[in-house]
Formats: sequence, structure tokens, C-alpha cells
Amino acid sequence: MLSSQTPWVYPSMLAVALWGVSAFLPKLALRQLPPLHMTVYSNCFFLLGCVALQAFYGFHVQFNAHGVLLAVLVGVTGTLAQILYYISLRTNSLTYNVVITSLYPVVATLLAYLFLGETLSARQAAGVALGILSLLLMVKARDRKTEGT
Amino acid sequence: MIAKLKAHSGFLLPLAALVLWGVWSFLPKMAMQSMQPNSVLLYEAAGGVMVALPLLLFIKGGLSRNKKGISLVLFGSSLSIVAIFCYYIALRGGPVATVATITAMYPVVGVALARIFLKEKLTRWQWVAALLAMVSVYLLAG
Repeated sequence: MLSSQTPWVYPSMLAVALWGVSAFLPKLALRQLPPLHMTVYSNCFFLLGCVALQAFYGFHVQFNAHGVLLAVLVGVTGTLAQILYYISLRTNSLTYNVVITSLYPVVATLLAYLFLGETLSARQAAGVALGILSLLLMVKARDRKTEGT
Repeated sequence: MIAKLKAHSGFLLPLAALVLWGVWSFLPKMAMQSMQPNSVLLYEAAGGVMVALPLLLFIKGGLSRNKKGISLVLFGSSLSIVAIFCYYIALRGGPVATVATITAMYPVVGVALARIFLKEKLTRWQWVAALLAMVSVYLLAG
């Protein structure tokens, strides 16, 4: 699989490692900063990083009112999710949070089915069902663990 | 009502984050129909700051200047940007389904790091749930 014909595998794997580490770092940072402070800092850094990234594209930024509105909404929903994730991370374990929030493709798949008219294959339907089952199992197991302690 | 919500916050908070991230991952597809990824990313960052900056009104005593905490957040944000950039590079050359499947496996790294550095332990049923979550994401991405 890892041949010269599949060079895209390397950036994919690098993205996995980097996203994995960036899911872990907030747990350490929360020992030093409250969730709201972390949200302010991370969004400011993210904006600065994105401005710097524009250099690779020759600072050619497009404008389409509909597209901009949607992109801004991406930032709004992402940041709201980030705040809730940080608050939850303060009391829950990293593993519990990472596993539950990693199931966001279930929501994305259902939204694409409902609003974009994308078809839901049998494989994807099985994925949605397994995702919901996993979520219920994770929460039930956590409740049992809490009761046991 | 509030007491009831607070009692279930351990479940409701990550669930609400999950739903919001679901919307977050769904919207760029529509935004990228009219703009290139770099432009979408910039406006996304602007949207994030629009939510983050008003938080300053709720933070009493100003922003914390804990250097270690700020460094960790800066490091995490830098890694996120590089990860998104790598994801776009991979998407440009590879099939979306395969790239999405590979990158969706990032929680494995997070869980491994939690195990190694934070000594977090999972019960047998939590292991089963984590495994099912990975299979679910794999099926959805394929």
C-alpha cells in the first residue's frame, strides 16, 4: 500500500498523528488554563495560523456571500463544540470524550442524508447504528464505573 | 430542570459537542462549492474568533497569562492547522473515501496517549464501545 503510487498516504497518516496529539493536549492545558481562556487563545492562534497559511496561496482569498456565511457558521459551530468539549474534559476522562466526539461522522452522515439528499448505503446505515450503540455503551459503562467507585 | 441537566452534564456536554462537530464537518462541503479550501479555512477562523472574543466579557479578571498553558494551546493550534493542511494535500492526490477512513482513525492516537501519559484505564465494556466507535467511523467513511 505504501508505494510511490500512493504518496497521499503519508500526509494522511501525519494528519492522524497530529489530530491525535491535538486531541490530547487540551487535557494537559486544562491543568493550567480554564476552558473559556483556552477557547479565546486557541481561536486567536488558529486565526493567525490561517492568515499565515494564505501565504501558500499568494494571499488570494475568494469572496462569495453564501460561501462566507457557511464558512463563518463552520467556525461558530466548531468553537461552540470546542467550549463544550473543554468543559466536559475538565471532569470526564480524555478517552471517554475522544471516543464520544469521534462519532461526529454519524451526525454528518445523517445531515447529508436529510438536507443534501445523499443516499444512505447499507454500509453507512450499519455505521450509524454501530455508532449509536457505541455511544450508549460508552455512557452506560461510565455510569456503572462511577456507581462502582 | 437545571439541577437535572447538571446531573447529566457528563453525558450531555460531549453529546452536544458531538452534534455541533457533526454540523461543523457537514457545512464545509457546502461552503467549498463556491470557494477554495484556503478561503473557507480563513472565514472559518474568523467565525471562531467571533464566538471566542465575546467570551472575554464573561472572564473576570482578564485572560490568564499562564505561559505553560498558553504554550500548550499554541502548540495544539499549530498542530491542528498543519493536520488540516496535510488532510487537504492528501485529498488532492488520493481518493476521498480512503483518505477520510485513514484520518478518521485519529482517536486511536488520542486513546493511546491517554493510556500512556495520563494512565487512563478503560473497563471491558468501554473497550468494546471504543472498538465499535472505530468500526462505525470506518463504515461511514468507506
